Amino acid sequence: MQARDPSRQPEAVAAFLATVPPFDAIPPAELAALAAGSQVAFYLENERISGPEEALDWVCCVQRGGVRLSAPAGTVCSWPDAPGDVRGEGECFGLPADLGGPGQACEVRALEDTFLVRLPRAAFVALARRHPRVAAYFGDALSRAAGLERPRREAACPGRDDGDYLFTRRAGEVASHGLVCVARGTDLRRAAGVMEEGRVGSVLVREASGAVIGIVTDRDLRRAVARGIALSAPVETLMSAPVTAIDADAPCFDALIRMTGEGFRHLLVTVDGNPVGMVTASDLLLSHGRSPMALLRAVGRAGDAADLRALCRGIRPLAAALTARGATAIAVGGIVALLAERVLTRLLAILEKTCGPPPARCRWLAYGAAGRREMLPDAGLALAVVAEDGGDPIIARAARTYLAAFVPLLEEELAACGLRTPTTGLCLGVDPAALRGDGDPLTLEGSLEAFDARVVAATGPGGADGPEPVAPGLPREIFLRLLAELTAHPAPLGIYQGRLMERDGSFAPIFDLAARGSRPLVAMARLAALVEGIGETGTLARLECLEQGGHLPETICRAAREALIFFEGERLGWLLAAGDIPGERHGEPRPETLSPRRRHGCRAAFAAVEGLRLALCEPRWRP
Amino acid sequence: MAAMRRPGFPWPFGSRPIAAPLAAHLRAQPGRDRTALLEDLSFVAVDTELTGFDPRRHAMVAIGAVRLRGLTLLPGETFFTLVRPSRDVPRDASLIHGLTDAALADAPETAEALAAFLDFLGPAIVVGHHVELDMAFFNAASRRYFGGELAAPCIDTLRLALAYEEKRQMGPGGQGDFERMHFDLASLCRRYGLPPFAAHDALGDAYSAAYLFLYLARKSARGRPLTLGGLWRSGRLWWR
Repeated sequence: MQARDPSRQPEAVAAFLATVPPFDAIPPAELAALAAGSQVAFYLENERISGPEEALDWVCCVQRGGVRLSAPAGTVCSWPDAPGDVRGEGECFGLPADLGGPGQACEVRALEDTFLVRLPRAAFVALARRHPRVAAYFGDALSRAAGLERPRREAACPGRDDGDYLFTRRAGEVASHGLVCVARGTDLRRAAGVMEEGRVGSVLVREASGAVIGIVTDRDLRRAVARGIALSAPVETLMSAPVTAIDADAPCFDALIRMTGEGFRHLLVTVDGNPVGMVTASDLLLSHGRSPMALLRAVGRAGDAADLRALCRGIRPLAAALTARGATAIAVGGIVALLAERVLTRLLAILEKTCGPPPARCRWLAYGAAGRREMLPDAGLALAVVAEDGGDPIIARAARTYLAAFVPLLEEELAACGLRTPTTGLCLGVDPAALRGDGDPLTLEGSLEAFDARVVAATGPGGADGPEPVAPGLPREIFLRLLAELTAHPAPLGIYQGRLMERDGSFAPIFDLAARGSRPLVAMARLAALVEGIGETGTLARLECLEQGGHLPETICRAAREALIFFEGERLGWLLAAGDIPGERHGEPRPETLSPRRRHGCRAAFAAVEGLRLALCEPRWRP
Repeated sequence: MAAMRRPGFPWPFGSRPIAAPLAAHLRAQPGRDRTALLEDLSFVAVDTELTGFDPRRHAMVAIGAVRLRGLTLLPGETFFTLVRPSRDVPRDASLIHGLTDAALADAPETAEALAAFLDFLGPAIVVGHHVELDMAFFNAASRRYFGGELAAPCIDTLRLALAYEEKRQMGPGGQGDFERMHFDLASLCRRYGLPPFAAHDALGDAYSAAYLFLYLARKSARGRPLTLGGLWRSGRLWWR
């Protein structure tokens, strides 16, 4: 490797800090100044680094190894420097109280042989004052301000195939090539004739030399008729000049902005200043293949199942594009769920053409992730169908026979569309008797997913959906008992050395962020909502109702919502990064590859899960 | 009398007067108290890039150093200089550290670079990996240009590592793969999980040596306060 100019040698510690959030967002010069005042110290395993009675003069960042923070009994440390908390590589401790540190010092011990980079406290505080993002990162780890959004590298516009066409396609690509022109002095009637022949909405007016001097559009002709201008008048009386042009390499978005800003619908496309074609508002609209609205409309118009299959292949790229444009995972989940519903409605209509209408009115219920409208691209559409026979045994039998033939066909089509996974079934009827809590929160949660059911379609005779309840109610006592079982286990503390660390200092046997993060949140919100009789099915909406109804504190609900968005966002990110293997649950990333920023976010999100759990452990939530 | 001397021109008569940079260095280097605690001393971890391994025929092309106060590394106090050698850099040396004649054209000459290094070193103890090699080159240059050798005591992290590993491996519960271990700087840093730095870059290797010294000194002390004498003893154990 080349040795560099000594005056610009990157300091090793500054180079290390540049990889550690939130310092990675700080200008290199300031980072070098911070690093110049720093020290590196080494501690042996279980060696005491500082005690509860001595205030740290340093903010410490773990370079290698890890530390455990513990407070002696009787003192209360606030989050994030919570007692028993651990800090792994790339994480900081010893923060001042106003930056989210504890009110008083905790005892800190090295968990293993540990190298610490010690940053002078005064310099750190001054830096945090200058850069609000530093303070935000420690103060509110899950907020956008803390910079938890995906780094630029990932958010860069995706490739042509899966980005938003407005940003990935060039004006030159969507433009109609070849110019329809008339010479200067041509009369209006002839110009209109040229437009009619060319089936275009505008003609360019050219000098004899070939230079474009203006443009006449169908709007101008309309104006001429309205004002009574003679049709023999030359086009110069009417043309707009100069013609607004855009370079062929400009993204479509620029063209759209120009059109909406200046109020016209035609732009001349140039390459090196030479006109090569026209781009119109309808060109932009027709190339609009990646917007959720376009996909929804296309699904609604799909002619047969093959069309739907092709359209469903666009769901994942659409999710990637929306994510790249800054949509949260919950927003993406809502759009994917809406698309899945549309696909189902369309499939039902297509299959009815071959099977005939059902003998009784059938209500199709989506439950689970689709019912909550939190359906990430890998989730299947969990469906249940309820036939309303009105108590007539003959109709009931006919409906059963019909559905027994119809449901396998539907399942097959859904699977072909990628909307069915081994874990999402299609069940006939909702049977509350099947619900029972056996203490395992996961199976418990699975069995309670029916309470997220929503009617998404209805087929057969009968009018619009009535407001009849979807899932049969259960006594409040049962929900309270289930809630007590669900909230028995504390949430993990965070990720240390690639494993989930429990609050008692042990390690969780398996690393499954969804099972310990988002699923408990969803399940707790569901049960709390059922206890309080809230009819919403979305987790965020449930938490909001619980907050507004005064059932849970506002801070708890807000943190839980942010934690859910964080966990689902992480999952969506991994899903989109993983290979496209439909029907297979993508593994989470290797935990040891998680960046310090992600681990910091996980710690804050787990703290929010734990906060919700503790709030639901209070006596009023007990049977 | 004032020494009339051109740089690089050998002194023809017996002993030579000591030049100012070396004199300042000799004044700065105190006698060592073997009972001094490491916490109260200062160290400078050093590494050089060379054109070869023979101090009589080859020369230094870069010096990197980083200061430690007690057993704490000070990243804000580093020293790095390229050195223009008096003859061409051989191709195989350039392949290792990436420094060519063109890269060194504007660098200070050996005497100037060494004077700057001695100034940075001050009263500190020199630490390095296989430090005899670096010291041989420092002393050769110092004899040639300044008329004497350096007085700074040295601590060799290679010997510390050998002693530390021998105790660990040969003791009860050791794995006994001492014979198969690699003791080069990069391998040791990997073995002990120390942060990686650019290899064959003088400052990067100086950082590595500093981290390795911190690690080995604390590990050999096993949490007890360690004196300079103790550290020397532990470093000598291996060839006993």
